[in-house]
Amino acid sequence: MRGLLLRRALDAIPVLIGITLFSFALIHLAPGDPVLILLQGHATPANVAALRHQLGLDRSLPAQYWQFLRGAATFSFGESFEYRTAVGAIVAPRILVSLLLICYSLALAILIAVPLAFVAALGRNRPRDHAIRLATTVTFAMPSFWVGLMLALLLSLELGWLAPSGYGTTFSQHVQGLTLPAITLALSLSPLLIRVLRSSLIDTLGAEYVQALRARGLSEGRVLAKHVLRNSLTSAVTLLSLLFAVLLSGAVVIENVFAIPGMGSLLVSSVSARDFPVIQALTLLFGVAVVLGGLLADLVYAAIDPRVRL
Amino acid sequence: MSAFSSSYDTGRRSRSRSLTLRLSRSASAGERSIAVGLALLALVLLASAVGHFALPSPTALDLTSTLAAPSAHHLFGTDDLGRDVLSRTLAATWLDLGVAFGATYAGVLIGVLLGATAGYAGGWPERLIMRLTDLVIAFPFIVLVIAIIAVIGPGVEGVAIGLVAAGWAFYARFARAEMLSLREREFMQAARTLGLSHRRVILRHALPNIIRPSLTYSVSDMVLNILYIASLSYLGLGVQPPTPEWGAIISGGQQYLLSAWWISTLPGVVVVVVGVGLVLIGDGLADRFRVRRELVR
Repeated sequence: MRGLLLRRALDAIPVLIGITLFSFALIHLAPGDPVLILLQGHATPANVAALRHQLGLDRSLPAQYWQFLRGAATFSFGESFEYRTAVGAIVAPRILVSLLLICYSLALAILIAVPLAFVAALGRNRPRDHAIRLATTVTFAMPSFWVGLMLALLLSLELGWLAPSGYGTTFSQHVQGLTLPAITLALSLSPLLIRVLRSSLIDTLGAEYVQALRARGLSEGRVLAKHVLRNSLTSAVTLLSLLFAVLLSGAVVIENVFAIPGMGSLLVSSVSARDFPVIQALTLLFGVAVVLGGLLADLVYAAIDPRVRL
Repeated sequence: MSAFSSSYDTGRRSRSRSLTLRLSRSASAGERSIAVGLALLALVLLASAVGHFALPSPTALDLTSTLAAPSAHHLFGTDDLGRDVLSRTLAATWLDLGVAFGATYAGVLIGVLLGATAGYAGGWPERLIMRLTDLVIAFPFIVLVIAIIAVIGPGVEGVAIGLVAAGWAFYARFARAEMLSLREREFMQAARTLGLSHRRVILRHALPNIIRPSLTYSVSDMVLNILYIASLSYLGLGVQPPTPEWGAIISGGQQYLLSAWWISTLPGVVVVVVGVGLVLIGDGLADRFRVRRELVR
C-alpha cells in the first residue's frame, strides 16, 4: 500500500509543476501591462520602470518563475492590486470557509444519496426506482445558482426557517449561514452520487457472495449494511477525488449566490477587478487542492478496501 | 460535473446485445427516452421561433408596466424595465444552445484528434498530450474557465474559449483509451501494412471506430456547458446585459426575488426543460449504444 501511495504522490509531481506554470503564466498572458493597471492614470516612464523593477517584472521569465515558486512555497504571492495588502493574508482566512462549506455539503450529499440509492437499487425497475431516476434527471439539469435562489425564496424569505445569506462571526452562525448553500451544493452533487451508487449496489446485490450470505441465514439488514454497502462504497470512493473537484466548482458559484466569503467569491470579484496576483494564488490553490484531494481519496480507498493493502 | 449519461440499468447489460432490440416493434426504453427528450427540446425551440414573431421584442422597454406579475398579456411577467420576461427567456435559447453546441463539439473535435494521435503515436507525443490532459483535469472545471476568462476578458468569447480549453481533455482520454485497444486490431495493422499514411489510418480507419462513446457523452456534456454558460453569466463573467441570456436574466431578477419572483424563477424552469430534454437524449443514446462510462468533471 505504501508503494502505491508513493507512486501516486510521484505521479502528482508533474501535474503540480504544470499547475504552478499555468498560474504563473496567467499574468503574462493577459493583455495590458499589469504595471499600467496598477498605476492607473499616474504612469510616467520613471514610475513604470520603478514599479516594474519593484515587482520583479524586469527580470527574465525563468527568474520570475523561480521567484513565484519560492513565494508560493511560503504562501506569499505578492501584493494584491485591488486591496494593496499581501495576497496570502487575504486568501488564507477564506480557505477555511470554503473547506467548511465543502465538508458540510459532502456530508449532506451522502445523507441524501445513500438512502435513495438503496431504495432505487432494491426496487429496481419498480415505480420508486423510476421516480428517483426522474428526480435525479431533473435535479441534474437545474442550474445550481437558480436552485439556491429558489431555496432562499422558499425556506428563508417565505418560511423564515434559515438565514438567507451571510456568514456571521461565531461558529454556530457560520453553520447557520452555510446551511442553505450546503443544501444547494448537496442537491447539485446528489444526482451523480445516486446514479453511481445505485448501479454499484445493483452489481453487488447480484454477486454470488451476497447470495451465499443470505443462504447462511444472515439478516437482510446485516447483509445490506455490512457487506453490500461497504463493497459499493469502494466504487463511490474512487469517484471521491473527482467529486471533490466537482464540489469545488460548485462552491465557486454558490459562494457568490449567498455572499459567503470563501475562495470562490474572491476569485470572481478578483477577475472583475483584474487583480492578477489574487487570481494566480487562487488558481494555484484550487489546483493543488484537487491534487491533494486525489491523494486523500487514495488513502481512504486503501483504508476501506483491503485488496489495495495487499 | 458529470456524464451522468451511462447506460442506466446495469442489470440489462448482462444480456447479450440483443437482436430483438432492433427487431422488436415496440420502442426500447432508450428510444422512448430519445423521443421524449427530442420532444422537450423541440417544444422550447418551437416556442422561441414563434415567440420571435409573436412576442414583444426582448429588449423593448415599457416603463408603464414594470415588475408586472404574469398575466395573459405577459405570460412570464415583466422585469424592472418593463421588458417581457418570456420573450427574453426564449430569445436567450438560441444564444445559450448555440454557444453550448459550438463549445461542446469544438472540444470533442480537438480532444478526439489529440487523444487518437496520442494513442496511435505513443512515445513522447503521447506523454506530452496525456500530461496536458492531467493538468487540465487537475483544476476544478469552472476555476480553469474563469482563469481563462481573466486573461481574455469577460464576455461570450471568453466563456466559449474557456469551455473548449477546459472541456477537450475528457475526450482526449476517451479517444486515447479506445485507440490503444484498437491499434493492435487486424484491420488497423492491415491498413498500416498497405502503406497508408498515418493521417489516413487515423482519420479514415480508426476515428469512425473510436468516436461513438465521445459523441454519446457529448450530449450530456452539452447540458453541463449550458449550465456553465448560465452560471458564468450569472456571475457577471459571461454574456453581458442587456443581451438576453438565461443566467444574466436570473441574476437581474435576484434583487426583486420577493417583490417579483417570476423574473428569476420562470427562466430557470425553461433551462430545466432544455436540460432534461438533452439528458434524456444522452441517456437514450447511451442505452442504445451500451456506453458505460462514469465520468465526472
